[in-house]
Amino acid sequence: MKTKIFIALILTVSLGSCKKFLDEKPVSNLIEQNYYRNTDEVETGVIACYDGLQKVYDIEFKLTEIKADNTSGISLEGDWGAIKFFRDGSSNFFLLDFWQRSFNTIARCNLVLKYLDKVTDPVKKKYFEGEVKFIRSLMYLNLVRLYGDVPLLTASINFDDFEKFKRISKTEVYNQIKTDLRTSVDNCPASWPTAQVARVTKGASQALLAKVYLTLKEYDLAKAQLEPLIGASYKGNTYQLNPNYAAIFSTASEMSKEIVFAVRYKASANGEGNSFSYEYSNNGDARNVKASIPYQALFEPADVRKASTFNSANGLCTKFLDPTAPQRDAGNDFPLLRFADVLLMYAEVSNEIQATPDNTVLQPLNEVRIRANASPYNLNSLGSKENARALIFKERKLEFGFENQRWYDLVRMDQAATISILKAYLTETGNPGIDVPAYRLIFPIPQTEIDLSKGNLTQNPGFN
Amino acid sequence: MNAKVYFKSILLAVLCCFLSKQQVYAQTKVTVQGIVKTSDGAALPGASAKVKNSKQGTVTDPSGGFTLSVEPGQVLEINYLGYQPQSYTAAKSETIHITLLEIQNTMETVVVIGYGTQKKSSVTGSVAKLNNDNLNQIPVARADQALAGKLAGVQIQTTDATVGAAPVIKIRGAASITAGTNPLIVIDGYPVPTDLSAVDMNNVQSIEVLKDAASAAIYGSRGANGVILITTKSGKDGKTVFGFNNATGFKSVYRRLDFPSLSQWADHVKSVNNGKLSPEILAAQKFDVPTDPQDIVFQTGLFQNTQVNLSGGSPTVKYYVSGEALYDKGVILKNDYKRYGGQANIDITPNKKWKIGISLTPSYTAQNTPAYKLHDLLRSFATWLPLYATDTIAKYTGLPVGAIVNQRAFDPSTNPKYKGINLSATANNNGYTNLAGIENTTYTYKTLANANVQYNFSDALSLKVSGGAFISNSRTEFFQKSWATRDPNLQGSAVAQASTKGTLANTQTVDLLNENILNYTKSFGKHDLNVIAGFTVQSTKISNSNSAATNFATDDIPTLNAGTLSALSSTEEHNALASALFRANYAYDNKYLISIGSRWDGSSRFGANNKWGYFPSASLGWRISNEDFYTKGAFVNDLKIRASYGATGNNNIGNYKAYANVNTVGAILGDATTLGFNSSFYDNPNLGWERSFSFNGGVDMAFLKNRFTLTVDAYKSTTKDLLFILPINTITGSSGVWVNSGEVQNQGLEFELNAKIIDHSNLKWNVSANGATNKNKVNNIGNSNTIISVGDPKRPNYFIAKVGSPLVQFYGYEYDSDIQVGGNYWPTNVHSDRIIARDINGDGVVNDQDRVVLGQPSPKFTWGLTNNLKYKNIDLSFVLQGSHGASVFNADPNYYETQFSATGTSAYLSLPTALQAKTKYKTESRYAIEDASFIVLRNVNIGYTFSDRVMKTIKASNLRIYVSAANLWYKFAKGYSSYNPEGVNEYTDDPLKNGYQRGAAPVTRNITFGVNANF
Repeated sequence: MKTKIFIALILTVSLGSCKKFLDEKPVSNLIEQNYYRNTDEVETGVIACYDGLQKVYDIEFKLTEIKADNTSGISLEGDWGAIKFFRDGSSNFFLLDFWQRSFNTIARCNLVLKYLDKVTDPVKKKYFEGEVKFIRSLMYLNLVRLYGDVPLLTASINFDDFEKFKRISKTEVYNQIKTDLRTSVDNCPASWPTAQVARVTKGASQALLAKVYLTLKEYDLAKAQLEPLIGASYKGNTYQLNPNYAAIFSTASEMSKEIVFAVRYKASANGEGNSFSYEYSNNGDARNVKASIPYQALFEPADVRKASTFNSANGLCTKFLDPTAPQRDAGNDFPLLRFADVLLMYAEVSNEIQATPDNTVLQPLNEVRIRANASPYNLNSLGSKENARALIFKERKLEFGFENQRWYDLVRMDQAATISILKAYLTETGNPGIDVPAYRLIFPIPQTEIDLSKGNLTQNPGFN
Repeated sequence: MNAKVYFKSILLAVLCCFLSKQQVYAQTKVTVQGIVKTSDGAALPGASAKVKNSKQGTVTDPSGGFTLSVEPGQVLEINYLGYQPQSYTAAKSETIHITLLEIQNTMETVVVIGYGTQKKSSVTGSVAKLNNDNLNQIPVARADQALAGKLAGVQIQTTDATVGAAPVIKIRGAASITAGTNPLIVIDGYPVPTDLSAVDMNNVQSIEVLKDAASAAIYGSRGANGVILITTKSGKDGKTVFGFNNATGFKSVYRRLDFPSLSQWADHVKSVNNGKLSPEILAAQKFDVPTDPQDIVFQTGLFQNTQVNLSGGSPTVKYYVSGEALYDKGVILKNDYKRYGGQANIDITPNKKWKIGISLTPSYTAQNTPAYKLHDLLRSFATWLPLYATDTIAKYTGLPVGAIVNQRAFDPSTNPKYKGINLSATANNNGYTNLAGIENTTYTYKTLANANVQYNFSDALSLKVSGGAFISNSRTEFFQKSWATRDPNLQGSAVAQASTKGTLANTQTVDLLNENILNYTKSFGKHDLNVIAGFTVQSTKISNSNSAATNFATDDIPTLNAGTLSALSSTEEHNALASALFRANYAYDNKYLISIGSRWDGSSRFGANNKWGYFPSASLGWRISNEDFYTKGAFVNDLKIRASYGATGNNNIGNYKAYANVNTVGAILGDATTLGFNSSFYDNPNLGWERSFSFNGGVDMAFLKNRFTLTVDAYKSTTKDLLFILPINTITGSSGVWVNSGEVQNQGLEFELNAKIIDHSNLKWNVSANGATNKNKVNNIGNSNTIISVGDPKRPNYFIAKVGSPLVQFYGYEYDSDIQVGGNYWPTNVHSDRIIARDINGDGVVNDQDRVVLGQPSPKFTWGLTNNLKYKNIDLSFVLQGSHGASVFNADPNYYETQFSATGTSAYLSLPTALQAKTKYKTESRYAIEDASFIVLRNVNIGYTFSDRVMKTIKASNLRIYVSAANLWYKFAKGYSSYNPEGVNEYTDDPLKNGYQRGAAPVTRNITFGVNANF
């Protein structure tokens, strides 16, 4: 009898409390169902979108600057070399990595939109929407330029919404980008308080929207977005050229007036540093990616951009140096849109709209050149519209070395021109045997993504 | 409820028991007084003396005595675990002397089966047992290393051969994809959240391995990967025994590789390049001091182990206490392992109603691990450069004579004082500074404390309540000095200071356990019944903290206060497991055996809808040799067949995976880090148990009067509802979701044969052999039929998981031909990193479609052969072990052939365009897949036991000296090109990328001298 009482006692004590005993909730994390309930909590979701940007721009160079004619490097290993020499296959890790980071950032933006109605502060609600739509547009702009048609997600989805993995035509993706960026232009503030600098502004939205129009050759629309930014005599207003070119990239003088939008990094700050600065250095994985000899030769001797772009002794990148930072934890911001870009976009748009280049082309172009201590052009040296276009593209190449702009500039040219430029560069850098078929101007869709999509995601032509 | 309240109520319940009265049996007929002793004359207390077919019985007192009053003609049965039972028919009142003989026959051995013990002859599942007859004489630093080759179907793989590292243990193949594949470790009944480093082999009495589901099912949700049960030694009644064990030895690298010297390379270049040498080779000849990098990186290892123990006791209190110190120095610089441990086991039997056990196992270890792997260490040296600058080197490079030389001193762009042609082939410092300039030490303090109280309600029914704690505190300190990775010529600069780095990582684990088990054992007539039932709760709390600093002001202060703090974080997690268990073992007439078990487990790790899992099992056995029709004295004198079926689970997935976790992330706003929260996961409230259903059939046989015993087992195990990070389209923003999906199957055959080949008093020869096969197959992996995983993107290689095939297979291109390197043939030993691959489908191009399966990393057959020979005072034992059919992806040649140099990577550019398009990286092809089979003489041990005469003079009860050799002979498979075919040391936490090795630490040959003494 005693035994029975004893057993009963123990069973009662134990089983009655098992349910609670087993109910363990995360201690160091939150759970989505219990979070994003108010303005402040949703704002932490917005911050997470900026974190997503850090992850994307930490590796974007592997798909863009590496592939472009600014750089050369014959002994690039593995997947690096495959991209450099137009041999990338669908199982290339970097292509998957960039795809994942981009779509992860898109999902973060969509998560904010999902909980946007929990934001009670109407001003912040407007800002948040503008910011995340800017970031989402930026991701789609990259994806559509690098992979062609891509799945277009404007809201959070379930992992088994296979239909949503279908690729959407570039035109539709661009339409969504334009719609979103117009919202950002309307919603975002002209500036942020000092402690918030780095967040999306109205000016950044205008500049990015202009870049989208420019890419689509919608020059009038582009011009309309650029005009409020360029200011009187092309001197800018909110955004201006930094008289010291090197200072734009120095960790000592970040977020200068030149910066329209930058992805910010910080060394030794709990993992907020970038790795590209180290990868480009003499110890990094991309140490064999150097300014190509023809690229080095493009600079005038007095051009201050030369020394701020690469080391003439060995061709290594000098633009993002943070020598006192730990390995792969450097503080250099990545400048995504800066005033020089606004000026050069304006010069290009102006040139395309008119029959012959005039001062509206010459002056913004010369602003950039004079700041760099390069000899200014005059209307004669600009010559024809075609010649001026070539000079503007060349200027972009000189101005934005290692800033991941060159590949995107190459692919918005006439396709035949792009291919002939790339072939000439490959020959000049000692690789005449490498073919550049037109289909290789975009990347293959990562194979694992296709394998998991139940047939909804298809491969780009040419990539088996 | 909270654990405190819970444990309090248990205590209360136990106190209630103390108050219950003892019952007394008394009856007067004839009085038999017995004295039970062992064959060596020691009294045997605690033996049971029972009257056959009645309830009456008693246990022997401290002096081995008992008194029973019985009717004349009644039969007394005297039993003690591990001894052959004896019976005596009472006739009159008298004093009898009974000597119980220790069981030598393996069929009668008692095996630990989890929450109880059983005779081997009654076991119906698949349980392997290893007595510590001489395991502690295999001088190894870790208990798990001594098990290699000893047990069928238990694969102990030294994936990391650095000292102090844990081997990977797999029982009957990998049954899971994402949840772990490590077996559950149970030390004296306590399922510990750690590995076998918590015990000292000297203290181990026996090791049992529960292999099939029916035996492991009593551990339910944690049994799917098998269970390893460790029983530590306990004291015996009698006089105090003092034991002393010491082993001291040396270690050396078993196999060294050949790195061509400059002159060998120059000869090679002359022979392929019309007698001409490149300017680099000619320049390097000026500095040439032939150097083997292995001479710099390797050292002679040391092994020292001293253990003392004291055991003994009185009839009521028995104790075993020990202390141990171990120093194990590896064969790679900066690799060593120290361990200080103790064990205290105390058993108290105040009377026949109560039994109290207390055990305490504290240990402290300090493990120094090289911060770089071997491939990185060796490849950074040039075979023509000495470690320290010679006069010539000093003259040309500006380095002081005697300074440490790096290749970078020969690169004019990094060393302006050097004006010659660039000879540097690496951006790394040399491996010596990488080792000598970095401290990487883990200090771990572990304590396992366990106490139990057993109350015997009657002879048949008892309750055991145990409570225990496992506490582990681990702290890893890392410090990288400014000269470890940066050239000497940068010393003192900001760049060099920036390369200093210190990290500090702390992990604290607190695990609490309570178990309450009722045990009912009863024999009536021909029926033998054992039933256990109980419930247990276990909870774990893990706290982590990490901090890092850089830019140290000096190399002389390794603690973080001297640097700039760069990261700081702490996290905490909890989990809890509650279980109820039941098992009934029933035997009829010792012929028909049946065992039925059930365990219900509830785990905090699973989704709200699926926290509880049920794990039933059943097994049957038939001892044919006990049947009347069976001819006594037949060739096969003992024969049992058995079959079992059961379900086991796996919850080895980490905590909180069922939730859509919101994680902290950071961004830089203004100039400061701003914290954000991101949710990149999908929740799964249905996330539940992964379950393995397995069938096991076996035969146990003894031949020729137990001279030979043979056990054969066949099994088929299907793991369903795999806990699996289902790979999903990353378009969703997430790369995977935790689900129960997929199915993996393992099937195989195992045998264990023991033979007493010679059994004379002067000469004994025992052989035990075991062998196992396992075949692994994936039946389902979620959304797709194949998953292709990529290793290192710089040296791509592929793994494929495909329905219908083994879980992991190497995948890639077929090798067709080599590509010759031309140009300057620099650096030495440069080869192309590509080969020309075969166009398998004949479509004219070599692309992804031409990839084929190139092998798989699991052995198809493993075996072990243990021999024990004893001639008079001399004994010899050796263990041979083999593994066949596994392949390994070996990345080492990619480094040692210096393919990362410009010449190596661009060699293919000289090929015609059409051929260029057929080139693939060697790592993507069969070139990198090597046969990992091996046969090894794992251990040879020769000992001499001193004669009684000698021992008497020194007052010892036992004295033996021995010499032992590990890996005296190691046969590598043809085509295996590195140091250790078992060293699959990369992606060890990703079962889909199994079998990748890069810079694995070498197999070592150890020679050790030792002494065992008891006083």
